[in-house]
Amino acid sequence: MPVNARYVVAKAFPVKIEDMSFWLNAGLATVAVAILWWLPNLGVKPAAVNELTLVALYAATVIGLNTVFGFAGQITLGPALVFAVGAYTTAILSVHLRWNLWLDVVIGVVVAGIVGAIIAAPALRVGGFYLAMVTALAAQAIPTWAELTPKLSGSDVGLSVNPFSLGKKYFHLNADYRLSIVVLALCGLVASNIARSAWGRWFRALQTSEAATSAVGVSVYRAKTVSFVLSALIGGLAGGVYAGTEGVVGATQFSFDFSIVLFSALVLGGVGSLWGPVIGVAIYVLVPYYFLPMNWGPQSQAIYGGILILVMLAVPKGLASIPRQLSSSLRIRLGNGETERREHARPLKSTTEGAMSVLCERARQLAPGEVVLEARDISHHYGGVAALNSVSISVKAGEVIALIGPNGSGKTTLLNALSGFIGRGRGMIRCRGKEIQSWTPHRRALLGIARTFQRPVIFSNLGALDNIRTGLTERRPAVWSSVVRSPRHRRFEARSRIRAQQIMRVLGLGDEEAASAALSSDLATHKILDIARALALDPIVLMLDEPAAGLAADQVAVIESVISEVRNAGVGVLVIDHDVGFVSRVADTVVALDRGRVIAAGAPDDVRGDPAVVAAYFGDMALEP
Amino acid sequence: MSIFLQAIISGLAIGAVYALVAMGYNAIYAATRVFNLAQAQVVMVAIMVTWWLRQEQGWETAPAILAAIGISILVSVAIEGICVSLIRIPRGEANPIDQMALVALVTTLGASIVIQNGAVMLFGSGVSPFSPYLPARGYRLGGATVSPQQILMVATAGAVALAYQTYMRRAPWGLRLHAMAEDIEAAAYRGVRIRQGRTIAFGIAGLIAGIGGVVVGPIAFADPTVGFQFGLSGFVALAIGGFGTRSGPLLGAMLLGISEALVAGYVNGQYRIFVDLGLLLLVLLVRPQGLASTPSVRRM
Repeated sequence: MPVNARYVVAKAFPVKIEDMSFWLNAGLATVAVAILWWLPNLGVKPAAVNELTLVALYAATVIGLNTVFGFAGQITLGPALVFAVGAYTTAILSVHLRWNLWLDVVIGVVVAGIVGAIIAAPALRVGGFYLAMVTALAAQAIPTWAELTPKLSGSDVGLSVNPFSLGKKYFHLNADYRLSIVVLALCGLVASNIARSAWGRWFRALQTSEAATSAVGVSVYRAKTVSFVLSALIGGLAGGVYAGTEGVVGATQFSFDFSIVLFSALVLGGVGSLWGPVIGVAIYVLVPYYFLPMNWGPQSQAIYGGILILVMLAVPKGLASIPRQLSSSLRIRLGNGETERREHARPLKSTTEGAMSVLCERARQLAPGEVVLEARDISHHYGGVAALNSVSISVKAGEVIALIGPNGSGKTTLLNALSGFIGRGRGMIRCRGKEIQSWTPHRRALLGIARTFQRPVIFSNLGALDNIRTGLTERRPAVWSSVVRSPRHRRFEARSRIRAQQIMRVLGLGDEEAASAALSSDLATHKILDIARALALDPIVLMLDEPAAGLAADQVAVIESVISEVRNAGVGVLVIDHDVGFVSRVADTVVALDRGRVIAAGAPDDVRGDPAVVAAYFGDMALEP
Repeated sequence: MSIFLQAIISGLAIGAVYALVAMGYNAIYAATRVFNLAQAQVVMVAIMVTWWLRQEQGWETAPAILAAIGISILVSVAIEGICVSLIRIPRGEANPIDQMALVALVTTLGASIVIQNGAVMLFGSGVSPFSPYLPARGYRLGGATVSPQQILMVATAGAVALAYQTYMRRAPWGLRLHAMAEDIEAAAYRGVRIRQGRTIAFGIAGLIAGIGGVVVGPIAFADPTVGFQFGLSGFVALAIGGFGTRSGPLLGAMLLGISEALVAGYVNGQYRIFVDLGLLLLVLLVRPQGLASTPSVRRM
């Protein structure tokens, strides 16, 4: 291993880079909270303390927005919606029913979460910016509703809410302020815990590729909904506390402008980063009072708009991404050329014989030759074209079946049909006794049907180790479990890390890969990473789409050894490829497709020589002497 | 019965406006996958410029309209030049087109804020009446009244839709935009200049918005803040009809307009936003790809 600056630093500070940044952030956060807590005692004026209370609550709301937009990549323009729901629920319960204010806030949080789920559920099915518009519409509905129900909502004048109290003592200005700091710290902690958990990894995977996220057994729809409900709960909490600290809740406070401010603050600070929300909202505070949300005219709004444009153009990933970008370009420089070498194809280490069986627990329980995946009469049409026409295929445990055929013959379509990525076609698919043709991709992945993609999809915002960890399915923790760091969550984190490292060792990915961002690697490493992630599912069926394409001869040899190891471990393997030699060496059975139909099936040499197959590839001319 | 008929008529008329906004969105989205949040503000620009030139500066109607439409096209192309074509997505990212569309969503949002507040700064935030082009006297039709203005709006929407379809099917750049809409990578490989195509798409959207603004002026007021409402309704209309479809904008817009008018006629006009929300949620639940589209690959 070359001795360079990075090597020295890594040896001197044996703490992993991930952990180091965690402790750094935790330290910063503790210091910040301490300073904020004691601000009133440091001679800050009461008017400023009041503004800071608002700012803290807005920052908390933006943390919620960050969870859904920054982590999971879903655009929403209605943080004002859940904030308003929390505020109004709290206010209405407190004013009209006279329930305890603390209880009202809790109920406000719950109601905000429910409203969030209801509004988001249909929009999330289709994804994209439908959610943005639905939330914008719904946020607009709040002031309208308030006008239509003046008795309930107090209309423009608003509802007057009593302040918070503990026992007999009512909260005054400083107590309200400290409460809002507590809320902010709490929301920050929740967001941070999620980010550093399996759910955080799945959310970030969602941003890169919904298809690949499905392929590792995560329901995309559910992940989006969870992220949205989380943000709704956070927004509802901020809104509820706002009702108690502000004392007045009225329709004019929740206009669409409010949504814009919150959104812009997040964009400015850095979407998806942990400090982004706080930085963004803090920047707005440092600008003179003229720019504060409550009283701003067209000039300042126009400037906001301009800032949005400029920031997004200059730093599409937000201000908080600047340190990261700087550090990664610094790292490249300290690497003394190691990165440049990485751009060339590097020889992959071959796998340790027999080590694969350790990884494939489910496959060990299969009988050799048992049919693990069976498809009958699969048909699929794209428009008027029959991509697949009554294709039947069986994948057996401990055997490799190869799928060949000219371009457009339907190979990838068949793989997509087997893994669930195409909508309803016709035919029956059975896996170990269960009929799965109507199952979604993530359910099939959980059952043990793993696949890779023709062009490897790597979650670029996760490191190599984390990429593999997303695939682990055993005893996944629930969201709340990760938030509170329950034992189940901790066990999963430890287990998934160990398992992912095991997989990396077996597949010959060294420790250097673990630290670097997955994006900087080359094609061969990406392909192996894709396979590694699929193996993390503990599959009984592994489907590889052109695993050898684009690789040099020695790398193809590595892929071959991986495939035979996986086969020996008892997994049923389906391989699509064009390389005839590769297919002959690796496969036990070959199935040839042409224009959506099976034209030959059998041992590799038989299929190779089959005249129909030759004609499909080379045309009738090949038959002439 | 006359309430029903009146509702249908005013629904069609307001639907015509939504259709023009929706067609503008669609023109850009189909070819570039970018959703231009500033589209409705361009409509507002057309309204304000027409009002200002005709009523404040004393211009004749025809040159004022032409100027307004010209300025709308310019504004739209400027939006493309600043807010879309300058976006750079680092190489090697997955889904570059989607990522660009995401960033464009925020930059066009910024543009819409700038344009709206710019209009407020130029013209003041007050609302002024817009003097109509045609006499207000309407025609009786089975218990309801149809005004020449309403006929003009519906006719214009229909004419624009027809012209757009013809352009897309016959004109060279129309065909290229069509290719971009089908498969942008393939179009690029075949030599279509994507950058130019985007500018043209935005230009067409600006033209449609300009016509829309000019035609809707008399029933709206000259109000710089009117953009947001139209934008939202136009989006809902397009979502109902189906993004990227041929007849989606018109179909969805008419449906939305009539629903709103029926609720306004029989219940209360203030519930408009609930009609929008309800109809949108309904369509998303039942047929998320839009009423006018054919069922396609299920997206996860």
